[in-house]
Amino acid sequence: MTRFRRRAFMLLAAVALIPLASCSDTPEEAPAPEAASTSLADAVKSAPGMATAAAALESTGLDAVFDGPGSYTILVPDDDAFGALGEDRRMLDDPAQRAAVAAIIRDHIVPGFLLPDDIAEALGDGRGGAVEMTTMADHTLTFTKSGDDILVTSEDGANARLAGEALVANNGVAIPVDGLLKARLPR
Amino acid sequence: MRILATGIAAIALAASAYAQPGQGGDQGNRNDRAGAQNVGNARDAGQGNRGSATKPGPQGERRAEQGPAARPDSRGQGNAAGGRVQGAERANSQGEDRGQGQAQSQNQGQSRANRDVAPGRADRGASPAQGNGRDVARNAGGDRHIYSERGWSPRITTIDYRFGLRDGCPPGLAKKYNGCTPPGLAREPRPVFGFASYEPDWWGYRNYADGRYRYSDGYLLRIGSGGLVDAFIPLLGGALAAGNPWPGYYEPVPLNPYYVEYYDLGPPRGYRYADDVIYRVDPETAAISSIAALLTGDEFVVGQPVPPGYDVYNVPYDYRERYYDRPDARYRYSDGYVYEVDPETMLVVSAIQLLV
Repeated sequence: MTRFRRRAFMLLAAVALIPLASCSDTPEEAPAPEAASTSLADAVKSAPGMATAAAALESTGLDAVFDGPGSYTILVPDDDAFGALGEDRRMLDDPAQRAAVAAIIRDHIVPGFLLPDDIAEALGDGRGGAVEMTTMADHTLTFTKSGDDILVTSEDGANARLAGEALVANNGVAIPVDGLLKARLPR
Repeated sequence: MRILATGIAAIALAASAYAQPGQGGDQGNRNDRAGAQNVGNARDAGQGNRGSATKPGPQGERRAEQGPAARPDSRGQGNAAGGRVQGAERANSQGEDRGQGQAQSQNQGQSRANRDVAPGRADRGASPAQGNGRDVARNAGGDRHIYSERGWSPRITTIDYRFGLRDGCPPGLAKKYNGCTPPGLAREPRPVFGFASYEPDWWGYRNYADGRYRYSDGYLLRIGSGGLVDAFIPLLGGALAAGNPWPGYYEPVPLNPYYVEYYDLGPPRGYRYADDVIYRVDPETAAISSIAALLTGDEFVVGQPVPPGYDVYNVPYDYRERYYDRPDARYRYSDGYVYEVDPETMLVVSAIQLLV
């Protein structure tokens, strides 16, 4: 990538890959996403619809992880997903609950650079319609197809839909999802 | 969490074969291709690499033969990553890190795990790429060592150390909780805002025994007989959060030099590790300054099945053109390594360190 192109690419490289239209592509045929110059922390911070997640990353200190070396993919619940928590959303603003919020976030992080197309590719790879990725909290996320959508289900039964364009950063990917991947307990 | 992340690695490393990541000529081609950012271009490079990777090299380190002509291009690409806010800072600390790493490998020469990484540092120190920092090295070489010896597995730390539950009441809370019998803690708890369970597993601490736990003040507290707090776990984002002192009951455990370099941690006094999380600390006060990295702690062992939970291709962007899934090889990333996996057997074929 030329210097000019890098400069022109100061914001986020969007990979509109949620629909499975390209799932039959072979890896060598798929266009590679462009390199981004922004960090994953900044990508989430500046993305529309991810303000709540960005605030949670900041309050827990996890934003520093995504501003540094390594490679991570965050399944980022969008603002609507947090909004659906209603009153329970207050936990995000409660300093006493930061460890719980950090635990919740950690279950939305998988190692490495994971594009929606990679998930679609794996789902089309004859693995019984479901593929698994470990989270940084040592739990498992299961991805499945539902029509043109990709669903993700946590070990404890929470599920969400990949919902929107993935953001490519220089140290990872942020994939918006429409729900939290941590089940709420019966009260 | 894999508490004993350091378990298996130190097998037969004296006989470990380091395969050269690529041939000089091939390298030049790869860098040319890198400019196009096209996965399709990677095929030849990847195959060339694999040929080298699976062929045991001579014992000891062989420096990657980087064609000088490839460097300017790769340096340019590296700058893209260096555009991060902390780029300059990181480049500075890199030099410090190297110096420390050398010292570590001397001090801990008894560690077999260290021995396997130490040659790489020595090599790196002699490399012309050193002065240009991590970005040049990353793009000029892309990888540094490939471990194909059966039984080889990365070790995160240089010594075995069990973090685990700590007995008693967290320091400072005994007073607050009237001798570790906090009112209300012994009662059945209500889930925190509808979410939090009190089992360690919910919090990402899988290898801790179940029991009667409660959450308070950034800790999971295990309630023992008589309602007393008899053990505790300091939690990420809670007791282990920026601004808090590093707890004295957790020893500073040096990480292996490769992790220090990959995560750009600097001297041991500037970081701490516990339960698959690396923290930066103030070297003088040991106060936690930030969370540096999250690790899976998943144990990849050459010759053993790939751990569950790696069904999807997840190689970092900069390495995708070299390590991409093919009919005869899959690649998966975890904690700074890319692992080659045999698609037929799903056994780990080799562990590849990435230059950063």
